[in-house]
Amino acid sequence: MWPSQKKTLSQPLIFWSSTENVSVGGGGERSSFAADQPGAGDGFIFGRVSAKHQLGQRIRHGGWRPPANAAQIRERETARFALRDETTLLVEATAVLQDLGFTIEESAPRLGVLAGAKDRDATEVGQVAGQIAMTVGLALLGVRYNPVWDKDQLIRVTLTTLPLRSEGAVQMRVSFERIVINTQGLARAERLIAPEFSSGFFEQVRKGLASRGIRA
Amino acid sequence: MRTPSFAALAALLALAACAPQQAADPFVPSTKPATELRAMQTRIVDADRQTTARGVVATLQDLGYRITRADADTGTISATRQTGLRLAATVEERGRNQSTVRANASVLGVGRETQVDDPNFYQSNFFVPLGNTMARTLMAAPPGGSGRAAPRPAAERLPGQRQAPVAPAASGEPPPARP
Repeated sequence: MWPSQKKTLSQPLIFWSSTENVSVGGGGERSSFAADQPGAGDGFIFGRVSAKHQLGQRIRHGGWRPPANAAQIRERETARFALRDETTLLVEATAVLQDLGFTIEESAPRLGVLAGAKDRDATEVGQVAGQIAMTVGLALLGVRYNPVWDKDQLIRVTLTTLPLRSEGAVQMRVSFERIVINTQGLARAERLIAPEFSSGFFEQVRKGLASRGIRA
Repeated sequence: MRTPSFAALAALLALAACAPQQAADPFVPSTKPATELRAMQTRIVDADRQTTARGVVATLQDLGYRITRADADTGTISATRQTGLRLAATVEERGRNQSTVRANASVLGVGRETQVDDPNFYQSNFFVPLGNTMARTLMAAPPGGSGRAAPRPAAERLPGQRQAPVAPAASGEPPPARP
């Protein structure tokens, strides 16, 4: 499910990319706003006034609004567990996340929140080869081109629980996202909303509970 | 191959411990008056503190934020959306079955983090979804209320970093009011 891990000790110079990338399964659903692109009007000149202007543009273009498919994503990322003790479910979820290689960075059981992350190498041979081939090809035409490819990525998980007392169950939602930084220091975020991410996770939680004699 | 001595290793570890932590980007606060900011950032919810805090968490996750920090004691939740927007919300008890929610958002630019002071942003992109999630109508806070200032949203760790940037000590302070 997850790419191989890579440790990076250096601190890259990081610039944020405002492009909104939403990936669905193996394909991808991408949306972006013209006002967010570098060099688009004066929207990318940062400062007290221009940042405000950029935000105003983004609001007018419908940016930062709730995702149109929020209900579908929520349904896909949510499961119900037939047990009354929320803490038991959070303990099991923590164990599964750690088994998957995540480091728990935030845990607030009274609010039903867990957050974790794991580092992974984002380098893909095909992307690197393509960029080098393009650099060489353009150089032959007398055009200078700086190759760029994905370098590091951080996979983040946000997990929340909600007791449904009237139903004697606990609802759990899990969201995965990856933050990728390329060789030029640009970062982008992609939501991992393919069904197998959440369904595979829930299955492992149910197996873990079953191994402790809890049917949920 | 020679094995490094214990003293050399200890010296290296001591040097690593002295390495400066990565500083957070400079924070550019709004220049709007504190009362105006409070009005746009604050709403009253007819629900207890715990229910409201869980409602805030669920709303942020629905909106595509990643939860960065959550503290039940202080009622503070901090989250990041995509790579350019951070939001912190503080939930306070107000009477027997009411709570006050104060949100504080910031956008990230190159080398700086700018506080959001657009009332449309807070209303359309946080309070309306919060009301929908909680199935409640949110009310504006009365003028001159004594609500606590929302803290600066916490930064999250980035790929290739071993820990999250450290915000300057003054970052949790309320933004200065315009003279």
